[in-house]
Amino acid sequence: MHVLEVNHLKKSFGAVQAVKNVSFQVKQGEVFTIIGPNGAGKTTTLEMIEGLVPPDQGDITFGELNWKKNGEAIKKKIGVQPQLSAMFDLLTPSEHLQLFASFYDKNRPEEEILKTVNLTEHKDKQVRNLSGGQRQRLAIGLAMIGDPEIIFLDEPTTGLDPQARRNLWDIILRLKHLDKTIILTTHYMDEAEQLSDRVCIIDQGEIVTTDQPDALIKRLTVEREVRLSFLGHEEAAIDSEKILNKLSVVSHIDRDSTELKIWTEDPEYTLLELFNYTKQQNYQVDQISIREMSLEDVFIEFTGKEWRD
Amino acid sequence: MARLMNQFKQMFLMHLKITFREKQAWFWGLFFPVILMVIFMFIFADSDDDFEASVAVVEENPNEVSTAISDQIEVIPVLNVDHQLESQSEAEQLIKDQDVTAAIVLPQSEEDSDVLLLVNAEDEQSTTTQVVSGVLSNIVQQMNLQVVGASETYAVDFQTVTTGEHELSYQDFLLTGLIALAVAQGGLFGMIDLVDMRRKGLIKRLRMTPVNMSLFGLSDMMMRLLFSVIQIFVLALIGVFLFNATLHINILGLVVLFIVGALSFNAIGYFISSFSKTTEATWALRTFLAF
Repeated sequence: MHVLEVNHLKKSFGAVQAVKNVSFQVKQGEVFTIIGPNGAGKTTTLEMIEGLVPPDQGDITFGELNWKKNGEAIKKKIGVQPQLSAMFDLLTPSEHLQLFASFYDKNRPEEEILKTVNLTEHKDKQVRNLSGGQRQRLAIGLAMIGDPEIIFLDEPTTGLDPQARRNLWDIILRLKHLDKTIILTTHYMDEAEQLSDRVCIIDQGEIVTTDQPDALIKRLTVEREVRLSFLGHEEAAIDSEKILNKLSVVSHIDRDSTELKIWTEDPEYTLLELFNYTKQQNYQVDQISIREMSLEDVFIEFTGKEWRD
Repeated sequence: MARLMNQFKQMFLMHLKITFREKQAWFWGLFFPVILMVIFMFIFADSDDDFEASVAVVEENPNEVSTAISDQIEVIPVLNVDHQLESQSEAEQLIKDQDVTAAIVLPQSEEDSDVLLLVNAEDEQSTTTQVVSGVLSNIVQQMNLQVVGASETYAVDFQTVTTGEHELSYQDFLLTGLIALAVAQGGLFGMIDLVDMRRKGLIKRLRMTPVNMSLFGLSDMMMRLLFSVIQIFVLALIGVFLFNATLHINILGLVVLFIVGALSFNAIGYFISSFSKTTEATWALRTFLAF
């Protein structure tokens, strides 16, 4: 069942076409992540879905509801953590939660939210005295307070240290276990890979591809990169390169002195053949590694390497 | 309805907490008007509109004319006859010692027609000298008319018109003026934080929720009214108890004027906030409007 459907969304700011044609569906309980380079149209797309910016064209529906007719009802169904965690500096987390709770018909208990976002100890500190990570956690808590069905998290971990990022991942996974639908944007590919059920890559206002992270990686290539280095002189590396070039599964080899980088469709078979040869020749292999492709490779493959700012 | 009431209560409390935790709000909203009032009161509270001059009357040789003039002088309210002397030299010493502003030397005989006015040479052109001289000339002129048996053809008729039954002092004007100023400043400058809220993205953040933004504005305005009431109360207490100002209060009129005034200045503040993009621009525009 789709809780959100976005169809042919378009938005321009003057001569700049920020969103050209964006369509996707999000299922109940999934973590749907939108990734893309800076200026790709992620935030504009999200702001249109959140009802902050009216689209020039296209439809956004939350089940049976749409912004034109059911704005109030939609606001009660969604919780938003904006990119800029705007808060009242002189209020405490507890006071923020009480204030935001008054906006909704139904609420999750304040204590439960504070516990979920790990702010129970800091509930009476003014926001100006909280760290960046604590502020981000409070922003997520505020998005949860109205017990929404769909939670939008716009770059929740940007600017946080690794520990704070991992803590936020735990919170997002806890929300997923509560059967919440999460729409996430991020610049961190490891985050998208770890948390997402599906990833949507947007570039230059258009969706480039949408799929599960593993499927995207598999779709990118069937090859693996195998790296190995030999002890002693270059001869072992030169002879091994010649042997490997004869294998049909090997597509490309780079050699740098005693080091080899081999791209192969079948790393197991390639290494077996290589070790048979090195054993015969009495060559000694020093190090060996097989590099897995990541979502970052997929991202670079789809969006290119040029500067976007 | 209950949800809206709770929403209003929470937003009112939010505005209240933010205002009372904000040191700048305390300073500009309360301490600044109080400091302003204390300074003005100290500078101007002693300036009295009642004019009085301390004089000495020298009657070396009492006679009918000198007694008549002396009697006239004593009934003039602005002249305080502090010394009745018998020699001119004593009078000169009192003037030198600045014990009296002037000395009036009365005629020594009925034939003597001169009334001498002694003043300090440094104060010759002072207001006091001019007033005493004028008063004395008037008395002498009356005596002259009396001697020749003439009566005045033209006379100055003096009437006063008052705006009410109370006599208002400078402190009273200052107190009411500063209260009005504080209310106006509160309305105009209190909205600065609204621009700041918009700049920080807080208004946008609230719009992402089902909050009733009209209630948000109303709760903000109610909190400002409460703050203005505190301002009035504190300023009135200090003015009345420290500087003896008098508040001639028509409670109903005060309430109506206060609400209309505060709401009007709040509305102007909101208006400016709605199109000012930065707090600096808002400050400049408000300062211009305030003056």
